[in-house]
Amino acid sequence: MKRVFSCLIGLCLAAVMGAQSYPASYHLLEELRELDLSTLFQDEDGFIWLGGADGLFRFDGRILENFSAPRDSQATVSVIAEDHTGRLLVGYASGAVARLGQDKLYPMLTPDLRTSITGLSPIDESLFLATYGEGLWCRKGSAWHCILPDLSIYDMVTSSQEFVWLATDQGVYQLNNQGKLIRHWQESSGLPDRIVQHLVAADSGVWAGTYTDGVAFLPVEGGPVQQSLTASNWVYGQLEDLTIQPDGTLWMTTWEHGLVEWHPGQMAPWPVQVNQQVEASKLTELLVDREGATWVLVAELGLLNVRGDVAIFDGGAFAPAGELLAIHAAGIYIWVSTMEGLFRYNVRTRQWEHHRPTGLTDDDLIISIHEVQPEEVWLGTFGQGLLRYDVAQKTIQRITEADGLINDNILDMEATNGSLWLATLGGVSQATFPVGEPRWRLRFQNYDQENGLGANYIYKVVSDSQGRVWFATDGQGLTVLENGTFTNYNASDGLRSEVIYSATTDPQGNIWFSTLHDGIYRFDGDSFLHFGLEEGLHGVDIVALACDPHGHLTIVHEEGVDVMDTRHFHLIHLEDDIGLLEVNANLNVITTRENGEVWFGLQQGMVRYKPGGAAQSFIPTTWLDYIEVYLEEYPVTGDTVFAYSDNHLTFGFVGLWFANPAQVTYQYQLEGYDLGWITTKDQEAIYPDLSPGEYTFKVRSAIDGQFEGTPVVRYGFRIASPFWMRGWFIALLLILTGVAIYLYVKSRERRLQALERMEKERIDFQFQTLRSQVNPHFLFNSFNTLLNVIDMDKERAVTYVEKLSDFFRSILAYREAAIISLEEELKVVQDYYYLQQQRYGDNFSLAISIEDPTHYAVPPLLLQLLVENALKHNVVSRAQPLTVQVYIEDDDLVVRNNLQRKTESEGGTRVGLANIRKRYEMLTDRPVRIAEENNWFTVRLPIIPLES
Amino acid sequence: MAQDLRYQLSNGYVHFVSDAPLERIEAESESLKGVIDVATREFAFTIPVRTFQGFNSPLQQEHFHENYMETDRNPNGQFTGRIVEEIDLTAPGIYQVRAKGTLRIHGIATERIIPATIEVKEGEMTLSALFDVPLSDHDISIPRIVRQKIAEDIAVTVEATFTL
Repeated sequence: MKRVFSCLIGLCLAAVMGAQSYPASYHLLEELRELDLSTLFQDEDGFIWLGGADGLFRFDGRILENFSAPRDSQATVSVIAEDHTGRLLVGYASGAVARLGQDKLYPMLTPDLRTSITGLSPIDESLFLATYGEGLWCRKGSAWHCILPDLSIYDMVTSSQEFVWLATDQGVYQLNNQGKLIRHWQESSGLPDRIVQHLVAADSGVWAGTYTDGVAFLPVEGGPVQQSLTASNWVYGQLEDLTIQPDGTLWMTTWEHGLVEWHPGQMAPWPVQVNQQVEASKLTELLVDREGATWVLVAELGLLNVRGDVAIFDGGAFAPAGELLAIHAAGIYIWVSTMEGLFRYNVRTRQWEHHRPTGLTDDDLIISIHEVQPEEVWLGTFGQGLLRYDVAQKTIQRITEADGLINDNILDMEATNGSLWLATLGGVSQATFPVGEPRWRLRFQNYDQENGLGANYIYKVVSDSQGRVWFATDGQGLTVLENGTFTNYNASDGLRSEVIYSATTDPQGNIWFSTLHDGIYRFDGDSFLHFGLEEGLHGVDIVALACDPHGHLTIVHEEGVDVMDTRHFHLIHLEDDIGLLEVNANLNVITTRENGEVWFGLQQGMVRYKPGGAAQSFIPTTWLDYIEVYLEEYPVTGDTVFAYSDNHLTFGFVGLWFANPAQVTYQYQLEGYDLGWITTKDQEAIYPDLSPGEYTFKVRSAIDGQFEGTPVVRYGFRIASPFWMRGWFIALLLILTGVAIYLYVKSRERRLQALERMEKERIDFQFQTLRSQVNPHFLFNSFNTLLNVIDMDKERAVTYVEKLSDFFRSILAYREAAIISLEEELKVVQDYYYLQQQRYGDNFSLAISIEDPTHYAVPPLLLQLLVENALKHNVVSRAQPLTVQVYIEDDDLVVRNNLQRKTESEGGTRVGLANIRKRYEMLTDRPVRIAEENNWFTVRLPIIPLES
Repeated sequence: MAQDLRYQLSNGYVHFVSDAPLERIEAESESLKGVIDVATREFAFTIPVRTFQGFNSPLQQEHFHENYMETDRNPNGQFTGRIVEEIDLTAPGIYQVRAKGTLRIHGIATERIIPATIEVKEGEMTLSALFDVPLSDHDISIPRIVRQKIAEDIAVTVEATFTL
């Protein structure tokens, strides 16, 4: 079972910074403090993986999940990669390699290695494996072969054109995708230091991070090492790791100076202040994620997300004093005016200059700035007219109403081809530059309400790509000048607020503008689209708007900053916790550089923001992470048909958006069960008792609930019907029923036949018995006996007649019955014995020894018949007395007599015995056994217990 | 033939200093032994820890061996590896090199890259190096109470003369 940590996000904000700007950064993962980790990786799906002495972990922005197998918990993960099928590969310090499948690590067959795995690079079907001490190996098909033996490889990357690069103490080896050595980069190739420990692939080559002499660029095509830092301009010491930002900036962790940034060709390497609580030497591994943010593994502290897109300039990094009035970007400069004067920031040298041109007075509050050409900056003042600043000469020319300017309060400026548009508190001036005269002798064409301008207070003037000029008015909406005609858009066109503070255009040619208290509008030439709080804005009192060439609209308001992707209207919010303090509310404190950077002012300081170009920056990536059936993990890629009883399903999902995972919300719906989308911040949906049927589980994630247009992840499945509702079972059931009925009918028929036969046999027996008992011979003998007794003993004769009478009554009483108790039968036998004894005297004896005859049953008159048979077939005389014994032995009722067969029998004995057998067959499975041995004739009848 | 050539250490000197806020402790030994292979640039050095002399008191020396270095169990300090720079150790000259290898102190091995200066003269070579040994790298734990008296990083100086 995996260990799951819940994540506490600790906000660790830098307070006062040193002399440099710092990127906004957030959260160190608290529970990572306990873990010894040393490698970072982001997989194709977007999950971040961490590995080290404490195993393998996956991070989704909120939860850190342990993927180490329990037995591997001691194995140090040294490298993490992904194979061409998207499965995670894990290299260990022990020399082992494992592959992740279904949340489990399976060992891979590798050469018998004893040293740490330092690189895993799949190229097509082959896999390159770098070790520290046992060289480079390559697997093609299933065979491994060693390419460079005994080499200690620190790092391995693949670059464009499928080159494999190795960082070693002997420089950098460049191999092709077949493992053939193409180039060996050393000092002679221009490498500043032969010990190279880190590599990072860029577009057309590889950056090599050396041991002590910084970094160097090795072009894929060979040739001299380019743009290398040398010992003379690299003062930051030993590198810990190296990574490259989407804009080409290199970020490096160094042992002595922490994070260092270098934009090759643009500026010198510069330390990046991340967080003053973190010691420089603790910053180790780097990872740039797909959203463009950088992750730094901080020893003993955890994982730090550093946003390269936001840089904050405050404290010592922001020289100007006083409230900000305007910011304007021109080339490598950022012009800033404050209550205290005019300043210029050089983004390359990171130096501030305070500009004090001759002619600029303390009364001049510069509220708008525009550089029309290099070294020529136009400054708009509050009440003091327009100033032309010649930067080289450090001089000012002042142009006022006296020179034809419509008004001396210049709120905004916009240069179009050949003209400078000026927005003032008295209307608009279109200034053109004179030919053959000093440029400051502007010619003015003035417009005001009389000419069709909505109002005379103009906050903003914007020109668009179609030659139109837009004016943001105070109280009269938006005015556009197109082909010499003014058109005014206001409340009658649906605008709910007519005070327009700022406006900008997007790459599609739409105009965006902000209103007082009413959010922003987009006008596409036909209609207006409104965005307010309901559409996801975090504030409606918009201070400034700026749009970059990718269509990212930065919206600055008093609640912070929202950024909109103007194509899909997705919004993200830059939270206060990334370090945006109070935004400056003045109108012109925002500007856009040609590279897309937006700079805007804070109360004391400014922010450089580079909206991300990646789609991941605006929409979380949604994944169905796991399925559980009765809380047991079930593979997401498994069979999508579930048994009838497997109907308790849990779906776990995740929306990856590392910029601020707390803002991610989810919507899910189980088609076939839920009627609509369910919105939640949970990452799990539980369906405890689903009926059989077809379902589709859908889930999507969004930032702050903006689900419109976000991709949906689907999982279709079926809960099978129970077997007793399926066709084959019903058919089987019908067949079985048919067979059962048939068998029943058949057996009933047989039973009836048997009954019939039994009845017939019983009647036969009765008849036979009757016939034998009323056998005239018996009667004749009985009467002769009686005659003798009458003569001798009258009383005995009476008894004799009574016994005879009892005997015949018994016969009449029992002949219909199927069975009678043994006691009753013995009574009949006793009567019979009495009758016969009168005739034979002591020559015939009957010995009955049965203890409890009431417990047994026999067919009626059966014992009597056997006794009668004994008399009938045997000699009874004084010399040869006949003895009949009746007793129970081994579950048999035994009737036996000593055998002294008469020479001429009275006949038909076999018929009688066969009859007895048949009668017993109907009563029990056990046989009637008849035997003649040792001069005994024995009949063994199975005992039949008498049921009460 | 160059591949059979080896420099044998004839004279070796190792000195270390612990420069803590409250106390400076020094010790030295001349019992360094070592060899450098000219062809492969591989080297091996060893020094018996017991041979260090100096310290500020006999008691301190005893603590050094028994409490910190555990000299009975780990009698030698060792450094084995290879010179990274491809230099010809038979050609006279002064070379700045980096020796990369395994430093074993207190029984704990760490991988180190140590800069050194080598001077080659006819049939003779001298080596000097100065580097830090962080106690934490070698699991030498210092009680909190003496942290003010023992530095966390010990500065080590090595001087050695080799002959062919």
